[in-house]
Amino acid sequence: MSDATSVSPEITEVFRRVLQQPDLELNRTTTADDVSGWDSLSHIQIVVALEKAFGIRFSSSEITDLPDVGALCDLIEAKQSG
Amino acid sequence: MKPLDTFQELQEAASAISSSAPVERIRIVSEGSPQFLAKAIAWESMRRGFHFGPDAIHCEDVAGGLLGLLEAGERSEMKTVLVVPSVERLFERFLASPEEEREDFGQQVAGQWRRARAQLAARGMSFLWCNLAPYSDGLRGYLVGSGKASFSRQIGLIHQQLIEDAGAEVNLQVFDLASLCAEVGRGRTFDPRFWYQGRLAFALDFLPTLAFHLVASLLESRGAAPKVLVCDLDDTLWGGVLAEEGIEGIALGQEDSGSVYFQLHQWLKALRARGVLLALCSKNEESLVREAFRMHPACPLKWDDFAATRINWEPKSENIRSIAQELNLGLDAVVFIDDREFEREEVRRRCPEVIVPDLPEAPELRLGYLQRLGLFPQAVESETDRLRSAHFLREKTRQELQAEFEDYTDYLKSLEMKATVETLSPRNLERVLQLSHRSNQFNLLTHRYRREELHRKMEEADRSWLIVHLKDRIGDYGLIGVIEAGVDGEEARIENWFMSCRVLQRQVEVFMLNQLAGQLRSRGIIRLMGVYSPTSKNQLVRQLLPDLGFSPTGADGNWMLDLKEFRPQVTLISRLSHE
Repeated sequence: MSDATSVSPEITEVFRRVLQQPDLELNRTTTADDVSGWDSLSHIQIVVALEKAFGIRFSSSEITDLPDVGALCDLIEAKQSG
Repeated sequence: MKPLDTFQELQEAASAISSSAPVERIRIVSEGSPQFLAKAIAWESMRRGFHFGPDAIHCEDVAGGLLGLLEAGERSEMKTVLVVPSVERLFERFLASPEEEREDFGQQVAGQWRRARAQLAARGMSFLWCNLAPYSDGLRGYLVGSGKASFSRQIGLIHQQLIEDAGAEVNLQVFDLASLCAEVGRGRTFDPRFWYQGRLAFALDFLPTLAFHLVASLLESRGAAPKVLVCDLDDTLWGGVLAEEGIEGIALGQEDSGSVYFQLHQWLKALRARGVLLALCSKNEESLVREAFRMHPACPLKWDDFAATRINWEPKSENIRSIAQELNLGLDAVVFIDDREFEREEVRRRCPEVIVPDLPEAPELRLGYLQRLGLFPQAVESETDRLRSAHFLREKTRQELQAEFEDYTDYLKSLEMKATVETLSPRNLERVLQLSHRSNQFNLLTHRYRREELHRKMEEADRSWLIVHLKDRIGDYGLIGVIEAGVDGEEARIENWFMSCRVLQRQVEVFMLNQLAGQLRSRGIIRLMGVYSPTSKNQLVRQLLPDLGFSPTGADGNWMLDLKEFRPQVTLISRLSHE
């Protein structure tokens, strides 16, 4: 498992590019409410860009059940090792 | 210029462009959630130097959505409507309809669409209407089934109706989404996760490809489609190197490896018949190339099929510039195909406006590749279109003739120019529309018509049209000049004046003004007003009005011609009465 606070730079980079916010910082407890521009539409864009970047695919339910960035990091890690 | 691979790349490409083009509002009516599609279209249009500002609405069915616009009092300046039905949504409706009504489902849908268009047609709107992505309902395996109620059959009926309607309704163009989706494959065009969760009708990373072709189609009516295809010869139009293998040795014909090139020739011939010009640009010996086209037993394209030829050892970028100049086209109207990456790169670097497709290495893949690029959207068919290549051939003859005369006036006299004059009519409307989009240099106001606008103006009495056909002893130029004047009491105003660049320096503009003045005077009009509206391409006519005797009025660059005082200048063009 990742440590409690850090988010991998690859994931942060995807968020920065999609949201066009080069200085965006994320930590594991960040939620959509904390980031301006992270709405239901850009969420789809982020998901598709993450899938491309990590060569993985999320299911419908996985996409909707993501309480925070930490959950997203764990899911990506699980998919990559799986 | 080609479609980008991902939505993310398109977003980044567009954010790097600082567009100065004015925003043109367009309306999208979509059965899927349209936000991403709208963004993709806006971004893609910026990549092409335009700026569409889509205003998108999401509706349960597009006919209802269109009628909703009517009730909401649609803003009148949004003349272009992109309509995107969703095959998934239609299948939902199909299953929700009573079983006994499913036989008529396709007819009903097509009828609802037609009635909605008819209601909005009075607002001067034109529609780019997507047909339906392929869809297999799985109710009969892969047997289409003889049942009249099968969904496949109903889709087929809708498509058939749509194409027939497009033939009957001047303001309707159909976008072949079915073919594009079939080509790309459902796995890449549709993402069920986001259909169920967000009603997105298209996968995100399909949108750059879709927007690329939609924007090309939307721009077609603005005359922005490529007009000439410049072809290399060795290993492009035939297999092998002519200078080494000889005429018998090159691969071209109906059998074996030559059939790939033969079929490419056939396709290029069909493209030429559609009005796209062909040109040659090859590092070769011209005499040998001419002989090859003449002597080869199975060479569908002939030397004279090419409107311009450059067979020499100069850099291809320079040859392409000179071809564009000869044909009076901008570099952005040129597509260049060549099997060698070295040549493509040289042209891309030196002429970045030219469209240079990455022709596949394997010859058998090239035709399909070019077909899928959809580089030549051509909605308007007119007789002149098909005759255009022949015009360029005659122009070559005229240039040779001119070389025989020392004095330009003597040359003009020798041409024996004759003109006919007419008003706007259903017979010439398509050509007037087309010329208004193609004419750049001799275009005083650069107002590009829309088809429905011309249909409307044809009925208006407070308008005077001067539409000129020209011919000379070498051949017929066809319809080459248009003036539209609005009439208000004793005053008329030039609202549009454009001319084909093929007839520059023929005194046609003088002839046109003479005719217009006569026509207006007979209606009791005493003043003709005009203004020049500059663009990056119409410097040529900056001084047109003063040169023709107009005086400045001092207000906003307006010019005035006193028709009571006007004396026609003599030209070498004689007027024919109608044939």
